[in-house]
Amino acid sequence: MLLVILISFALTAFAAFAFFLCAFAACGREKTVQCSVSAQDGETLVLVADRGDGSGSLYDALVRLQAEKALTFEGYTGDYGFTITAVNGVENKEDWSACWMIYTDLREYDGAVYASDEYGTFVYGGQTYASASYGASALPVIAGHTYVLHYDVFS
Amino acid sequence: MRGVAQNGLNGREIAFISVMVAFLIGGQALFAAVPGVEIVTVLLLCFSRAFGPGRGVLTATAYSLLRCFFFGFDAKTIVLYLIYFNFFACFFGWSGRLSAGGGCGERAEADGGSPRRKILSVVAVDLLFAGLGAVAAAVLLCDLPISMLLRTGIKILAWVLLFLSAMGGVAYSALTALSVRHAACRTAAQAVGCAAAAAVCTVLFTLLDDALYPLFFGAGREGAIAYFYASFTAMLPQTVCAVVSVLFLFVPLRGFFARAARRCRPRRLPPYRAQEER
Repeated sequence: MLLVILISFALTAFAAFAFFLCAFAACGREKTVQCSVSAQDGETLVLVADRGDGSGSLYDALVRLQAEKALTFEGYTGDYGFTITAVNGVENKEDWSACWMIYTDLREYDGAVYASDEYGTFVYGGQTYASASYGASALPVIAGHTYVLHYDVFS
Repeated sequence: MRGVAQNGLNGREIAFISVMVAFLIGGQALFAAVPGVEIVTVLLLCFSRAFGPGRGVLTATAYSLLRCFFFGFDAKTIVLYLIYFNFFACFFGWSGRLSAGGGCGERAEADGGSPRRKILSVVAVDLLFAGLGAVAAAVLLCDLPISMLLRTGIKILAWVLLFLSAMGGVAYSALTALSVRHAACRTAAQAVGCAAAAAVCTVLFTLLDDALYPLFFGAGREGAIAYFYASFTAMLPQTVCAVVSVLFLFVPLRGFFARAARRCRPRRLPPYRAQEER
């Protein structure tokens, strides 16, 4: 009886969790996201959002660009979103002494802070970009904004 | 003289603790790719309840330090893990002693304690679930300044947490009442109560991380607040995972670790036999 009670409760909880996840996935709408590569070299990749209303993320834009063979990238999904580990063959160091960081001029939008100068800044083309507060999968693409991936080396 | 000091570690315990640390690190690595899912909470919880707070703290400290060889050395994470998991092991080790009536690995009292103790435990656990429910309700009612891409998912998880909190409070109260006549319900109540405590501990883990972040990285007020809101994306799935994993795994792991603790303990000789051995 003990096992029945516990398993029933646990299964109910798990089923509720799975149901909500499925419902969420099923309700996904088409993402409006398109970026173009403005500049790139071995350590810097500059993307400009041509289309974006916040329904798609930087990760979605990178996936599209990779499909169009404009760039290559690798990474993994962690607790705080997608972490980029390699861009165009340049990989993060294993000890994280050098890694790809995301900078953007999208500091605040719709009440949320997406980048802050307190986390770090990167100057490119005369413009200062702030370090992103989220991983690539949680950073929305808003038309007209710029997203910079830079290979930072930490001393 | 045969045997070892009553409170000292023996070889079997050292070996079991070593294997336990390896399982904790391996379990964390196994689920590292799945956001919000972890097995460390339920493993360390059941281990500490069976082996006691002392062994639990030793295991938690070894795990917090040795995991760095696998996941990398980061000062904030080391301090966070050492503070949190030692507190976690102490808390659940102590709660295991309370529910066992005195010693680790011993069989629980058949009646589960006095009525006053039962009432106090129901109040305490229901307060824990109420707190979790309040956190979930706050997330649902407030417009959290988090990424617009995460808001829907966070609200869904908040609904799940609210649902689990409501069910958990009712289930614990019912099981505790039933445990007067059905001893098996006491174990089920323990599972539900531990799930509530594990969930609250998971919330505390995230809050501690939020407190340490500005200290270690020199972030200002704005950065600290942004980090706090961003941490909800990790806290909510981890809290739900803690509840579900403890509910699923508490009973089998509790039995396993209790048997292991009994086997690891040195055989206690009656005084006259101990004298003869000398």
